[in-house]
Amino acid sequence: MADPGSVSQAAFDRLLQTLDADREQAGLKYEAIRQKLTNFFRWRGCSDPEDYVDVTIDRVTRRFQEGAEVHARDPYLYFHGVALNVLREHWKKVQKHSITALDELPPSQSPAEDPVVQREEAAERQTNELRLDCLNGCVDALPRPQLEMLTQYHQEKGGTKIAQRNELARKLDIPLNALRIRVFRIRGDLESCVGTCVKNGQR
Amino acid sequence: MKRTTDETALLTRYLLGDLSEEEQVSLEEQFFANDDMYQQLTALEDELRYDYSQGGLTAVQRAQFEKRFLTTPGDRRRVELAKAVLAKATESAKLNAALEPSRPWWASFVQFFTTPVSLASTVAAVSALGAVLFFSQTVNLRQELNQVQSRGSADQIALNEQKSQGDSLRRELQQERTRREQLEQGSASQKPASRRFLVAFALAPGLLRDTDGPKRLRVPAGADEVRLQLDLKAPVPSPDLRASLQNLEGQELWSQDAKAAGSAVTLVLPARLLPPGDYMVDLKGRGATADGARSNEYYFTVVR
Repeated sequence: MADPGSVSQAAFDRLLQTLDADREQAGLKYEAIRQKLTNFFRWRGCSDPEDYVDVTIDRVTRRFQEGAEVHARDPYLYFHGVALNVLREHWKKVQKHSITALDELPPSQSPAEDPVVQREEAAERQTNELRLDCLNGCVDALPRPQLEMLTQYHQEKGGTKIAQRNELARKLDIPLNALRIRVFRIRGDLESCVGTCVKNGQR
Repeated sequence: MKRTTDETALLTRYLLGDLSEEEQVSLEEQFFANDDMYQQLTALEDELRYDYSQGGLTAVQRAQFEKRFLTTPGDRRRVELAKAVLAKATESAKLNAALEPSRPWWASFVQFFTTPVSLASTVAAVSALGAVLFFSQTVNLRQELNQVQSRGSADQIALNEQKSQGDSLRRELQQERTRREQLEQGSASQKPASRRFLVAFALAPGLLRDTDGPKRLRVPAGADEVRLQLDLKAPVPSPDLRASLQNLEGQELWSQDAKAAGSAVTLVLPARLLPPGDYMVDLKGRGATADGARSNEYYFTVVR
């Protein structure tokens, strides 16, 4: 998947230098860009986003190696521009070969029996009971204000749900965007808690 | 709020692949350059998964979601986990709500004595609590007496009533003093009241005041007492309140009757009760049932 040819360490260093004069900060920014690119390709419907991220970063680095100057008002936008080109090439390839990856099919069109999936599902059933125990423990350990915030946020459906979330944000005296991030973190913490618990239980 | 709702709708359409190429590129340029917008998108994607698991999307949105975010066994597992998390969380919240009003008064009492703390710190904490009560009642008594004196002889009946109340408070004060002396005898390390080191903070009600989380109170290592001024968001029907200090597991660490003065209530807590961590003070009408009364909650984080 990666483009032919290799990029030099000097070119990569120059890339980092463009992101930030401080090497440590540059490393953090580089990781943030990788993460954004991964989601960019995923949100655009690519099934193997990491591969496309590698291609994008290789191309940007190579352009630095060739002496290119970044004229974009922000280096992030330069990455986005290159990523769009990589994405368009991906679409052309898909159209040319009429490729639809199996894992890009909606569930209703997926093959009925996939041995890999079947094996995974069998293993999954074995850990279901453990996962349920872990889930109970993690939810019970959740501080009560967070539990209430989570359940109130997800209480209703449709228009009522939007009104409920706005009302909750008003009560807490925070913007809706901040409330969304807060609830997102609560869900993330719960899922991490369950994941860690299942992993420890399987050892 | 309308702007936020419109923005949410736009971001949702992006995630579900429902925007034109031009709109997509424009939005991507924003999230590549703006971390806040990127965070909103990642949070919204996760939210869509939870909404989907609850059957909360329209038929069109469901189809779009399945096409984009439900393509691998891993995706399906995450949706199942989302469904299970919400089911369990809802069940727990309902159970908490059902149990809360029927919680007997002695539960807090038993919990206090079953909480694993050392004897020395318990003695010190109770002693400091005695000091708080002593201070609080002294202030109350002085206020009562001042009021009585200011009315003069024109209202003799009211004066007598106030005096009677003053006597009663004086007796209670004397009892508190005796109790405190007994406790102080048992705690050699106790500092004299005149040398107590008190730090004060003001708190507003609500879970969070900003996206950075609860207010952080830096309590110096040598502090003996922490005074919290709790601002009331709205007038309370009765000034007689009950304050309960809890950790975020809902465990009550300390409680005390409190009186609203104007638009605030002041509490003085022993600093020993507040090691670094997250806390909540629940303030509600005295004698009110948990579900029948509006309570004010004050969240804060203690750092040392």
